[in-house]
Amino acid sequence: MHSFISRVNNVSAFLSSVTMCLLASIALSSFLFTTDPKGEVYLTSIKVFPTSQRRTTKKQEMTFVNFNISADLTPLFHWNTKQLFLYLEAEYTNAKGVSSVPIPQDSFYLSPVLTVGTAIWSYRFQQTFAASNSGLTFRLLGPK
Amino acid sequence: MSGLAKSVQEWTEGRIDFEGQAFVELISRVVLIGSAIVAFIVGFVMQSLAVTFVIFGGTTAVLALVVLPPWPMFNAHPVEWLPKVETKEKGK
Repeated sequence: MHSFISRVNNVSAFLSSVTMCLLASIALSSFLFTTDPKGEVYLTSIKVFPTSQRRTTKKQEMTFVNFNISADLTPLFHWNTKQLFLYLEAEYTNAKGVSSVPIPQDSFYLSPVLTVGTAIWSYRFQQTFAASNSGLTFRLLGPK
Repeated sequence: MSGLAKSVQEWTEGRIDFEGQAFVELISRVVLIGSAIVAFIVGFVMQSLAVTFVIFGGTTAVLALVVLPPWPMFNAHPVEWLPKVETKEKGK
């Protein structure tokens, strides 16, 4: 501490340690917030007809579902939230009688920059699976 | 060396005496830990990380201004050197 440079050295080293402890305590405080917000999925249209995927000619039966999502996610935005990851899951029963729940490969996310109340969602969700089945249930899942 | 150049050199070297060094160390430790605790609590209550880092960064800036330059208050206890002892040269 005898010279200017040594004071800068000592103070900055202690500042780094204190900053790391502060960040660790902020991260640990995030575990105190446990919420279970619910949302609803409204289907506006379901169309089933045989068509082919892009750039192929093989005809398959495809289901096109348009839906709206209504969810109040404000309890999830605590002080340490940077991004939210939401998952949409489709549950169906195929001919073997097993109810399989595929985890969709596409996931969509919100950042706190978008206003939760008036967010405009225009995310395309495409999932192809082979199912000879009856009944298709859509559920909105929160973060795991 | 002129008086102005000498004082500039003293300021850039930044020497402070031992009492000042102990004081600087005490101030920096207390202020940094205290401001981290206060910043965490206030930010947690207000649920805003911006508040936490504004408090912490602001007090760090003020601390740097107080602690880093060699202010005269840190030079208030200069080292008292013993008076020079006259040695008699002894023939071998």
